[in-house]
Amino acid sequence: MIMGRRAQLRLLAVALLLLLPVLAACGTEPQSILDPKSNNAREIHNLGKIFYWSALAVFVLVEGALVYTIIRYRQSKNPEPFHIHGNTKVEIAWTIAPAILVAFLAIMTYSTQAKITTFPENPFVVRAIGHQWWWEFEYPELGISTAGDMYIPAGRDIKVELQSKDVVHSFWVPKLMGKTDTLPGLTNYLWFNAEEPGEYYGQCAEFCGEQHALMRFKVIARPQAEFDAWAAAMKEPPPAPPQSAGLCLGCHTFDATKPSTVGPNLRNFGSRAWIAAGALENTPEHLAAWLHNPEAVKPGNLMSTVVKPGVLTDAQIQELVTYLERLKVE
Amino acid sequence: MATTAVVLPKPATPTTAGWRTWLTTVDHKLIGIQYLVTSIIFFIVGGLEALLIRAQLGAPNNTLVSADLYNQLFTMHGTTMVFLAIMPLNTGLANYIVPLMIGAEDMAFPRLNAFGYWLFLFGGLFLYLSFFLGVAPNGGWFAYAPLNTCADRTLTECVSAGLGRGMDYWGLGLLILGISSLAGAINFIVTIVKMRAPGMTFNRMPLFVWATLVTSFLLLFALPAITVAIIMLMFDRIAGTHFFSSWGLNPQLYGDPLLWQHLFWFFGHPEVYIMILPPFGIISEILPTYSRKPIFGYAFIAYSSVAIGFLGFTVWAHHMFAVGMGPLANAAFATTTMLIGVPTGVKIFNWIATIWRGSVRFTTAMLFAILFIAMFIIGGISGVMLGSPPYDLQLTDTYFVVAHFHYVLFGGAMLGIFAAFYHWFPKMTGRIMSERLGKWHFWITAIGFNLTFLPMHLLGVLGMPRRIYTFDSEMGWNTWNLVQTIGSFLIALGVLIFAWNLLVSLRRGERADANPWDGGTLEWATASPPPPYNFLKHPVIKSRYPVWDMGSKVETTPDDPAEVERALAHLPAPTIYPLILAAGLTVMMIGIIYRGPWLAVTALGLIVSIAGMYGWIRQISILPEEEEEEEEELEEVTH
Repeated sequence: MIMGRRAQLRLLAVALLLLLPVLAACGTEPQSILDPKSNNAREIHNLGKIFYWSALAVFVLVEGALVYTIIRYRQSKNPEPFHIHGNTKVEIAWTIAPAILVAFLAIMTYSTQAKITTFPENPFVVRAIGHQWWWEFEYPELGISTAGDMYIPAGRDIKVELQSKDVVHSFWVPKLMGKTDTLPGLTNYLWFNAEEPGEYYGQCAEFCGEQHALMRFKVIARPQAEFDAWAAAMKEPPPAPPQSAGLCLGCHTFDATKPSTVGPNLRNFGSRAWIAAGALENTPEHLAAWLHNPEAVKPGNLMSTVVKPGVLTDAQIQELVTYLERLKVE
Repeated sequence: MATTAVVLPKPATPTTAGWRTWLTTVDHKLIGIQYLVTSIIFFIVGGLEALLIRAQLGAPNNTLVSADLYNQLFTMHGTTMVFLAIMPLNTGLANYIVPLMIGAEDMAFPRLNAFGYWLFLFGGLFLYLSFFLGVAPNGGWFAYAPLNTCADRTLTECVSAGLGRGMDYWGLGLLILGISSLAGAINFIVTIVKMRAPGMTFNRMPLFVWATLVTSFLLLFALPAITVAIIMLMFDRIAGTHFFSSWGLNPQLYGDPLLWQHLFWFFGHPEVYIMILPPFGIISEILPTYSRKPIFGYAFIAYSSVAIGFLGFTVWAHHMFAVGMGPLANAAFATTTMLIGVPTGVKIFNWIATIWRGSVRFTTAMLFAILFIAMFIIGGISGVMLGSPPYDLQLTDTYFVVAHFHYVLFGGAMLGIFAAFYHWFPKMTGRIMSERLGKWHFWITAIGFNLTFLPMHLLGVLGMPRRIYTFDSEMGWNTWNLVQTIGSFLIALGVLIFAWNLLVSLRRGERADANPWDGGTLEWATASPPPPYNFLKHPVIKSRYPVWDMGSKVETTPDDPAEVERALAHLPAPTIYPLILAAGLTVMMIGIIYRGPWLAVTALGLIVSIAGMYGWIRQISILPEEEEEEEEELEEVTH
């Protein structure tokens, strides 16, 4: 039953080889925390590496001791047990050993925590507000508001003010920063500096009701100049809405300088990749389906209390699709 | 067992008791079996819910179940496994085994014991009534506010979309189950403190008894927090108070959503230890038996249970690192959380040292105990990682957490409970569970469990949040989700084999004598299954393993029919009143959910409850005479 040392080593090598593709695959996933793209996400990742190596060491030592013990002292090998009730010295040793390890891990934890919770001077402030089930983003310094995609200048310290309009949500962009909850009646904060321009996926991480799974968003980091151009374009008044948009205006606005009321601000809807916070890809066909019957696409959403099949005629839907897809801000 | 010429009254065993006995029994052994059978059924139901969850997540963008049904499933899965499976499985085992282990004839309060069981059964049925009415709770087993503070679906009144009566069933059901647990906790504490056999000092108590004692104290101090919280939540839902909610965004109306989280987790974290400490105790009994070697570091294992119990009340806010408590509070709770890893580690080292230089028999019970240690190590390690606030900000509310607590509660608690079944089934039924089926159960569970839950660590790291009913195929989560779904069906196959094993072994299992495993603790001294009075004479205990150390001398084979008769007369009479009171209390709750004219149902429940209480008290009021007689008898004996 016991294999030779060489066989054991061979088995270990095979196991590690099998693990390699798994490890190699990590990092390409859009929400992997192993692929940090901001200063603070990297700090957390570096802390994580310390934890992984410690975990691996403890795992190998303790599981190894367990496996060795049950094989070595099985009945056929060791018919007569050795009677012993305990040993105080050993007990003290294996109380102190884990205590030292967790003390070390605690100190590393405090040090990382100090770094990521020390807020920078002069950050660029974005306010992220959670709604059932979409994200609103306000730019207090610019006087504009958007939803779904959070545009930020790359390479600048970003401070996110977190609020909620209804229940508890959690703002999470794995590649940029750990999550922090948004609570009704309170404001939370987090900060990061996305060094590279790029698109980073985010998702609500606290269960917030029926469509918690479809409360996704993106953070779009652009070089400062491009970001400034985007902000200036957002401030432009939107093209004149068609007649059929009257119903929309009860809850939405097409003007980024006006705050969202009930539903998302639609000023740059045409530039967004998703409809209804990740429910559908943003194509004219999908948008038509959504406007026809939002309840079928994302059951429980607020819009379906107003827009039911038949409320909008096919012609109106076509008119709205054309208009909404025109609302691009690049 | 030696044959005796005396005809003894046949003990009511699971196979011989009639339905009347089942409804009225106050025998801790039969109540223990009622707990075990009921909670195994709930365990299977909770498992079916898990299978539906896994089937839905087996592929991206799956539409097998709707969003709302998915939310109902994970809410009921969590609630069922915690309150209707693991907790009552532990209670059932302790109910059966603890009085035997300490040489008592029954629990201290046998009627209260029956009452606790009936409340558990009715509380569980009450919770599942919602399922049959199509309004199962869908707000999570943690019922966060303000998501769950509003009962009405109308969005204009409160935005709590999709949350109907279900969470009322959840809240009131948990109140019923809370009374049941509280009754059990008090009963265990009094039984263990007051009813140990002569010579069984605290220092000689089996470690399972230690674990049950600490667990009962945890229940005593943790349950009030959730009871208060649920009553406040029900006020928010029913009476329009604002303890936790803040609808209308009126600053004057702000309740505090975080107050709910603090109250819930002040219960919720000790609850983890309430579920895992008894299996720690089980393991500490099983390892010595099948290693034929006393436990290593008895005092350290017992005291580490106490240490874990105390520390368990100081770590609750590590469930809330992401709510914005601030770095100082987070660091403080991180410290206590990591500290709790130390006594847990001490236990694991002592268990391995118990096997060390022993003579290991790989029975199914022992295999499950070893797997318990192996899996619990993984759950412990991931727990320390989650205890670090910066890293927790990435991992919390992802599948990494789901992996972590399944390694603790399935890989830990449930595997320990499986081990307990194989170990004590012969004591309870007089028959041994099939080892062949047991080995199949073991290997399939070992593989299925790791296939299901090991990849969840990775999915969490790849950014998959918990409690999402759907995910996109571009996220890179497809393969591992499919693997997990396959693994979960393997677990189900294992459970099926286990259930089949229970059924066939009950009828055709190999006969067991009093001590089939050569165990050392006192329960192995009496017959399998034990007679209603457990022990004829109180054995005098001189060590931690009386059966090993005194051999057959502690065997209490009765040979005098008069003695047997006296022992039987000494037992409390069966009674129906605990069942009536429990039923009345449960019926009251149904009226509270629907209110209006339904309050008549509450009134009916109240009347039934009062009738139950009246009958119960009348029965007790006859008792003092009996007890006087007993005292006289005792005096005679001592003179």
